[in-house]
Amino acid sequence: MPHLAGAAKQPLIRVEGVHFAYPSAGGLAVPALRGVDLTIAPGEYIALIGPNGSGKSTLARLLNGLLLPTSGRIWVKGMDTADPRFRQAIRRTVGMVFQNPESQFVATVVEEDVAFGPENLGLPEEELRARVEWALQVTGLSSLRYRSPAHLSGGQKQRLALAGVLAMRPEVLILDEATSMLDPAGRHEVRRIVAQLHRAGLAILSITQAMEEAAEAERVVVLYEGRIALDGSPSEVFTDVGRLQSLGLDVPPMAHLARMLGARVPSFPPVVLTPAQMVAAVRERAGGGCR
Amino acid sequence: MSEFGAWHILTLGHYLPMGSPLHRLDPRVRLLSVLVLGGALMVRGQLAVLFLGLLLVLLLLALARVPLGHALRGVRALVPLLGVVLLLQLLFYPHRRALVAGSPALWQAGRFVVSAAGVVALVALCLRMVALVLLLTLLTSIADATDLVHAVEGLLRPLQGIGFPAHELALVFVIALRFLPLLAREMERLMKAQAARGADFGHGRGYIVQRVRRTFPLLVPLFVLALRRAEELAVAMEARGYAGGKGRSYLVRLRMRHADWLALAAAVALAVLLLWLDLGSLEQALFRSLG
Amino acid sequence: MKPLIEVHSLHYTYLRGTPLETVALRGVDLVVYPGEVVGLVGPTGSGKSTLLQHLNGLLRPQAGRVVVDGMDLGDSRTDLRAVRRKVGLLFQSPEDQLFERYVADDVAYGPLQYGLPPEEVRARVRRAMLAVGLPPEAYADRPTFALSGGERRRVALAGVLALDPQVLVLDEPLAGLDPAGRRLLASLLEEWCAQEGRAIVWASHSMDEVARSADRMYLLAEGRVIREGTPREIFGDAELLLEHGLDVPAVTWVLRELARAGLPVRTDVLTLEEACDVLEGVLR
Repeated sequence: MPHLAGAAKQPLIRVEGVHFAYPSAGGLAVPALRGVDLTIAPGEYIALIGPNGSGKSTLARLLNGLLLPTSGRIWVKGMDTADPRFRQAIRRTVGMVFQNPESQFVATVVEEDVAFGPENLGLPEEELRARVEWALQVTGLSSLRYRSPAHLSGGQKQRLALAGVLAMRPEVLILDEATSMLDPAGRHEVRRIVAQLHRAGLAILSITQAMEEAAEAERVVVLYEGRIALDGSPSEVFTDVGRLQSLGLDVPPMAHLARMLGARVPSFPPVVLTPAQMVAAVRERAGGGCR
Repeated sequence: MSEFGAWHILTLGHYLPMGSPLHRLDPRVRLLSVLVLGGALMVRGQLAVLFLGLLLVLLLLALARVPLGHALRGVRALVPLLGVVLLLQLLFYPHRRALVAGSPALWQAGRFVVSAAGVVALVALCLRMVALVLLLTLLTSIADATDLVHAVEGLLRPLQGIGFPAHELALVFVIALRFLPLLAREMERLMKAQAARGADFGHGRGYIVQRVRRTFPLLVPLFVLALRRAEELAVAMEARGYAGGKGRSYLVRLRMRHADWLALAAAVALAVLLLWLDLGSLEQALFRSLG
Repeated sequence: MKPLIEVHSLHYTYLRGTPLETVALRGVDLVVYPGEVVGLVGPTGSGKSTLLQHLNGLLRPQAGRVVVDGMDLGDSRTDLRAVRRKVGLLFQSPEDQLFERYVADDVAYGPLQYGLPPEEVRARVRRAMLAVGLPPEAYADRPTFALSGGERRRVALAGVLALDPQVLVLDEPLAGLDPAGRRLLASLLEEWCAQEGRAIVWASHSMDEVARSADRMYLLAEGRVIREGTPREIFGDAELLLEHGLDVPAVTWVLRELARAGLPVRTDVLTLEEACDVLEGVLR
């Protein structure tokens, strides 16, 4: 089900008929994507889910030109990712934070690492300084600017990765399972900042295995064996439980609970995805005793 | 300390933020001065000159407010190696030729003779090694990893204009430095993991092949891990627009002040002095007094 | 019932006597009985990892006692390698520690280190691989690095099980696995623990995970045991968990919010089914 809101604006990213296969040692190419069409509108928050091996990370890397499609095209703000002239511009527009907090920082000092991206763009010194300041502030790392990245906690390291990407002023932020290696505190830190960035107008593509996180997006795209199997709002996607389970996925725990309650209490709404929604739904229907 | 404890000390040097005048010098000057003085010490062989050199290094350590105990700890670690080197020196020195050239003999046992010149050379070697170790300790005490990176980068940057990959080289240096603590930690973890399975790293029994094979449980996973991290970092760097040193700007700009030029000039002058001084007559007088 | 592991008043400081010293444990008491799964929960920096490493002698107590099946680990005469056969420890991301070319060789590493005879080693490798759901016929000669992350983790587990330990100590065993992988590994561990005289110590910062598998739990923070009890008892105190930067399971959070809003609901709920029952009561 294609998402129609925002179609009036020029799409930020357009993926057309993309196939991708990894060249393999034995000579047989391993297909990872088999015909994907997708558009991402400015400011849209999309969750990309799918079982391991479905092609999520591959798709992400195609969006900023780290990989080039075997066939099909990808445009970022009208720029073809296959055109080497646009490489820098595309990487400036599409920022990416990866899964492992240990493998994304380059420098031995926090503020110098944040500057790495803008330095690559050849920006003048005052602009560099300004961007580093801003990125440190947004991610709450200003007080840690002279520290060594190696001594930061997991959550802080991912915030540093975010800062480094934000300093390039992207219009789309791709998070490739960026919170999966963090402890609960670290996850909260990162998710809070991402939500803030979305409210400020940044488009977000979040690849995640945690259905509770996916439930917070505006749109959920399900990838299965290299193709898009479902594409709709979280309510639309997560109520199609049968389909999801056949794809090897699960629904957010609250959606399970809602179904269970719905079977016993007839008027209970079938579409409850987050704990906050559950609390609201129960309070509304519980009647007496509620403050 | 536990059997595994030593690894966290493997971070570079023993930086002591003393805030001395030496600490405040431009990092390039700190590095160059040490290199230039170290070079002079390596070239000279005269006992008296090396003695002066050692005094100079001790003076610099005092200027840098490095506690003598801290500096000597590095030398203490050197003692076994020093012992071996000195013994070899004593055995392989051309004592007989020295006797022919006029040096008195100090000791004789059968066909083996020890000349005064030999002993003097021995002491000179000793002084040189101690001086060099102290000089290295000085460098690591007044310059931390980041300073050294800035120094190397700053020194090589002018060469960028003639096509020399200065930034790439400096980057290699930075990344190696920032991976050191990570790999040290991983090494410790691996030792513990294999020990938990019954590995016994304590004893060096067995043939060389066996002993090498015994390190596989550590080296293979470490290597694989290092390569994986390197690949992840490369992808992250590319995603942040890294495209080599061309067209890059820099957040950190090193500027030489008067004090820096003066210090550099002083270091060069001292090195030249050490290279030029000829105190050979003092050595002759020493021989005569011993003979 | 005699405990398999006893920890009394354990203290440990890293790099003691240097300017970088850090206190990791400040008097921890812990006991593990045969047949149980003991959960160890705490935020990063609580001392979980340090505590785990004391259980098989990788770290020796600086103060306090650690006794494993009657062997005192503080006694310098204790053979630590013997202890490591009784207590198998699996670190985080154990798949990173594999080094042999073929799966069976890596699983055999432990038994070989203890000098067991070849037929015994082969038998143990077989049993261990079956216990982790990697049938030897199909997996013994597969190259280790060709397996998926989840499979490699099970190979690492097999490597520890091949020593036939009485206690399995696990540091974040399910971290980084996809939901299917987590379910599989959790059930394998449960099956293993169901055997006579076995126990598991399961450290995690995921409350959900521990709640599901543990019989008893210890809540660790800043080097001390803050609370000990059954998962239900500990979940009943959501404030305590949140105060220490730990996540509360979603159902517990929902019920707590509803209780705060004045609804007559219990908050010591662990599973969706229980939550459903409780909420049904309120909605009718």
